[in-house]
Amino acid sequence: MKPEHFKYNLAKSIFFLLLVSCFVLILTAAADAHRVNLFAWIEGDTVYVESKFGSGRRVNAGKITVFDSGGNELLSGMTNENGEFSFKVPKKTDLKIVLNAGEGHRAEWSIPATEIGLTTTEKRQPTEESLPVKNILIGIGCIFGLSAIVAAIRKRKKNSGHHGDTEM
Amino acid sequence: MHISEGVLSGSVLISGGALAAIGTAIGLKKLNYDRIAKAGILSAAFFVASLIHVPIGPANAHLILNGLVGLLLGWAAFPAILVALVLQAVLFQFGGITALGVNTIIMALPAVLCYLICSPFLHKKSTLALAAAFVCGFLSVLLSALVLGLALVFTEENFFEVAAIVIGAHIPVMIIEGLITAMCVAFLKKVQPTMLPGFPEK
Repeated sequence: MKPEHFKYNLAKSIFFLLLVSCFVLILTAAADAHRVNLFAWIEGDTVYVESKFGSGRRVNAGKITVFDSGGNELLSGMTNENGEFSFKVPKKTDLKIVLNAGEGHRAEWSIPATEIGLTTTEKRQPTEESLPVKNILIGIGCIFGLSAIVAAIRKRKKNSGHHGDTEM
Repeated sequence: MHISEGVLSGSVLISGGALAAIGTAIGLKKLNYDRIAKAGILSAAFFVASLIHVPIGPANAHLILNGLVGLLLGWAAFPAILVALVLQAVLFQFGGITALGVNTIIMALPAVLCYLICSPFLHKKSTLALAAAFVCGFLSVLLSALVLGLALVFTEENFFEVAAIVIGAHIPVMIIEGLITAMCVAFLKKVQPTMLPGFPEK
């Protein structure tokens, strides 16, 4: 294969794949994560837990386990079909609520001991994240940058060293 | 398809990490200068594909594209997928840093297997090539689900139950990925056959 011809091919394939990745990027407008979100708040002596997947779907029958500050299991249960679960505060300690939604999906939420015993804590909710476009761009940038670095290293090796590296 | 932080036991994480390191080393060895651009772009495609939710079927499933990555990169799919998974873990909180090795195995090992099975057919007649591409996309997701079940077997009691749930949830994804892979191969065969593996060199 002649070098110019090859260069042309390389440019063409890069262009094509860039197009594909743009297409994929646009598709992600309808995108969604499969991350699991878990949040909990206290009303009186009861802790309410809510959970859902990144898509907004509720976690049905996810296994909730509650630990104290020492990592001892206090109680456990299943979320109902609305992804909810509630329990009476078993004792005044830091609570760590762990949700295992199966298939490797897991989330955690902690309630510090200081919040327990107050009449009502305000319902803390994580802000709903929209599509992380910035993160997508950062990620793609990182990957391209890394490829460029690897390419530069390989090229230097190729130029300085032997000639016959033609497994393709 | 990603396993989160803190689900698996230490021994599973370590053996997953070791296997992933071996695969990545082989992949880097095979990743010669001319393939780096391709690897980077496919890695980026894999990175964003996981954001595309497939709203069909019972569970939370997203595109994986490991079949496509494997088919076009061969062993170099290991480093490509590893890099994408690192960034997914850091930027999207998919999976986790400690589970990185296991997640790499879950997605990259089936990719390489499907590459080995399907790539010999790509330069045959076009129907055969398309069928092979479809099988590659379909099978890699199926195998990924099996490996995922295998990784979880030490923590969740029943392998068959877990595997059945994961596979059931990913049937729409398998079909879609099979179609995507077949489409890409059909397109590349027309436009840029040199990008496909095993292109007869002149």
